[in-house]
Amino acid sequence: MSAALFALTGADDGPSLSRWVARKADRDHVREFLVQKTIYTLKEADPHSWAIPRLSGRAKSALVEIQSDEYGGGRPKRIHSAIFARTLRAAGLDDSYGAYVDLVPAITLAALNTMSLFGLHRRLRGAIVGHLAAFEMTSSVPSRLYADGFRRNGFDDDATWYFDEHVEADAMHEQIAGRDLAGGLVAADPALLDDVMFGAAACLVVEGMVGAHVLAAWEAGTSSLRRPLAAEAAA
Amino acid sequence: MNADDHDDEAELVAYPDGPFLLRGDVRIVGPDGQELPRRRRTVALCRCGKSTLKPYCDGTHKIIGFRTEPEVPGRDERDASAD
Repeated sequence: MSAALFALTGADDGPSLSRWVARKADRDHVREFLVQKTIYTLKEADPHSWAIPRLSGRAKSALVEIQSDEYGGGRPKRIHSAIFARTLRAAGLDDSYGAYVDLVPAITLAALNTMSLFGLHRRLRGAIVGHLAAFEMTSSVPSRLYADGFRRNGFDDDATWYFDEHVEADAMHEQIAGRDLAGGLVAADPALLDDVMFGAAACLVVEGMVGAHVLAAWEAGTSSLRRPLAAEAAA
Repeated sequence: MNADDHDDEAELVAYPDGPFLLRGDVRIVGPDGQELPRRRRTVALCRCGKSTLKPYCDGTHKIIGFRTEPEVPGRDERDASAD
């Protein structure tokens, strides 16, 4: 199970938004990147928490271990969404939830809705587990590249904390998510294998579409948002 | 008493092709005895030698294709059911 997930996520070698941010992005690009992320990341981990009461045993224990880390392990300042809000403020952006919902393209909303759909239905519990596994398995290495891009643009350690945190956290989460959460769920209920792989593949598809959209806009010298941030500031 | 009664003890799990995960109350110290920062209850320790966050894992093992096989004798029983 976990070997198949690592193989699937490892084969995901499409155009890389994280490499682009690390090497080429200017301050406008990284601010736009943060706006795209606000839709999920100010509620980071919440869609997967819906799965907790739908799991049992090893899979439940694994999910709670990951989510406890996402929610700061009892320390509110370390809640990942709160760390992300610091990055938003450092970039001069609004950290209230939904502030940019009218600016982001449909595909960004679709990526979040995919998580919500999987998380809200018991019959899709395999899919939300697979989604989280794929999400965690494709996070630690890109997070280091995002941190590099933000540092290159003059952001300090407090502003890059969010990405630095995810290098270490998600390198740990991906093992638990792949082996204990997804592996534990399928060991307990082998019929869910296809759903887990579907959820993982769906995650890679929709997140890949978001990345491809943003990259295409930036390569064309335009904004990935429905209206550029600069136009908002002037309005 | 059986093994399950000891689940409050520290545990080091060797994940195939990946890091060690450390759970439980263990101090992580440098060669000078100074305690290294431990920011989370469960930590992943680098096993491939290439992490930029050593002693912690940063996911680099995937980029370099790190493999732990053949490490069947050290395999955690929970992983045997996961593959």
